[in-house]
Amino acid sequence: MKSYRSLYDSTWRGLLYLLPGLLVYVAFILIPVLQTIILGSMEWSGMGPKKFIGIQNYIELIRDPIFLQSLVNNATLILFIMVFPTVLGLFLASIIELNNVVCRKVFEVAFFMPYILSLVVVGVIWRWIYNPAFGVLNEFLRQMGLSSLTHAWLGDSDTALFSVGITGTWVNYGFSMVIFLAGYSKISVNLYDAVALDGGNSWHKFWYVSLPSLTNEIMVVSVYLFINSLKTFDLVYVMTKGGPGYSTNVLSLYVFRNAFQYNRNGYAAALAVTLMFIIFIITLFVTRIRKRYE
Amino acid sequence: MNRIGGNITIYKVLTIAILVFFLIVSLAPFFLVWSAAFKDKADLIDNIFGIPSTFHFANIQKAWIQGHFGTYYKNSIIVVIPVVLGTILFSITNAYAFAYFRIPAKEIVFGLILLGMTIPMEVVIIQLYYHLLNIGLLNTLRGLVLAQIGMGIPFGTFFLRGTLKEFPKSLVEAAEIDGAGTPRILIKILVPMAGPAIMTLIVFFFTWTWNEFLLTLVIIHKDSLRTLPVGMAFFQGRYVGDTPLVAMGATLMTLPIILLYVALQKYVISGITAGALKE
Repeated sequence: MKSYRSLYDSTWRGLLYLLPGLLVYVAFILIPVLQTIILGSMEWSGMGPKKFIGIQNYIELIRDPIFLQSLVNNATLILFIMVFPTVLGLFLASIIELNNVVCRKVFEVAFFMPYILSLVVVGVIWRWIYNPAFGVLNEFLRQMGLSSLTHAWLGDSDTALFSVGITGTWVNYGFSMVIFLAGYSKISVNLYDAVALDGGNSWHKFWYVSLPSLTNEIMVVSVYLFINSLKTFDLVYVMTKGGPGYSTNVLSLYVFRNAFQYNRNGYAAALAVTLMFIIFIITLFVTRIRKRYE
Repeated sequence: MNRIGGNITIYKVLTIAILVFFLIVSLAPFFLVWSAAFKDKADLIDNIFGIPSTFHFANIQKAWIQGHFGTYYKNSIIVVIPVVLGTILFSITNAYAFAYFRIPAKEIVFGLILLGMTIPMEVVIIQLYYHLLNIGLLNTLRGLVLAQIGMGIPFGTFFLRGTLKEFPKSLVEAAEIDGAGTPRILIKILVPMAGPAIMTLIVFFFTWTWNEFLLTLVIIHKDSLRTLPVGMAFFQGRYVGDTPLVAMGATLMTLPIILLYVALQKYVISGITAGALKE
């Protein structure tokens, strides 16, 4: 063996490449995050001195009915933003694949379309659809002779969260379908033939071949959409501002309000840290499972 | 050939019916908004579902000038270009350093960067606001650009490091023996080889930056500096009774992106899904 000293052994050369990017990341992301974590145990209005109050913010948090309501609302949104899109996406991908549908590209491109838009513009469009007086949905119901079903979808605290949730489902189901289609393309046709030889129908093919082969995709989609539903902000901000009352208030919006409207920065920080902690735990947990699975 | 074998046509009919139903569900909101944008208020009340009886192009100018969409577009473009370029550049150099160089405590530093992928924006903004205020970058596009680059670096670094590590080491070693320096190896050999991955990242960062809302809402307060998503949120508040105008705003925001998407759909779909899959 030759003892050739490579340029890649030189630390200072490596640092020359690493430092600029690292600096931007540390200065604009990492330091603010560390400061926020520290701020979680302070009381601070944004001006004047910060006051250390230990875990007081966190104690207040678990007693705060608005926080608990937001947590419940986020949990409900998980149903609409994670569960429904994942199930529907898997269903659509499966019927396309197992029935070998023609023009699948058309469906793929169309179903994915809502996902590429900014959620703000999605919110604006759906606010119009749900508008009680001149919205598309009520107008449609009236023309179908179902006037009794018209409703102030976003104005009623019983339906507001579901209505926002449905919009979330609309945005995400095409995304999950596309990922499942990509997963399907990796499954060998021979496996289906084997099931067919044993006299299996398409349900058997789905259950014994597709589903086990798609475990990784299902996991990825679920986690990604799970995190997205916890981080929901844009849709709620545009469609309901958290109302009526606090019926659609979510964690992110509550962080934003506390920090930039109520000037309760310490409390906002504690809320944000809690949110980060939940996301962090879930990610860690799933990464573990995926590693074991692989 | 039918993958499921049998000649069960009823299933095929049912499948097509379901798919067409969802096709309508996915697309109808777009067509309703795009046609509403060219109606006037009276026309919209009589005819919400049909195409406009006459096309009112005046809404375009009204949204573009009075509604400031021209400004919002300009700002979005001013932000998205340096963010995409900067994030890609820093991600390449970071990935290069992590994939090839001997750096002490490399794994720890890499872990710190990876952490950035799970950090929600909410945790960053509270202190970033005061941070930017102190260094005079609050309410500036420069501040917004730097923060967005910072948010993008973790994912870009992670993604490209994976790509670079897949290349055979011998390639780089051979080039080094031939006397090429490290910048030359990066630019002439590695970057061209990582082309598809970089393309994927460009699409991913473009959509991400173009649609970013919360960060911009916090950093930018001047209307003349707002980007499209934040501009749109305030625009709809200003013109709340004028549905055709709001619909025109939504059209100006969606139509160009949708056209671009349909033209480049192969890259967009693979870019965004690769982004999500690796995250």
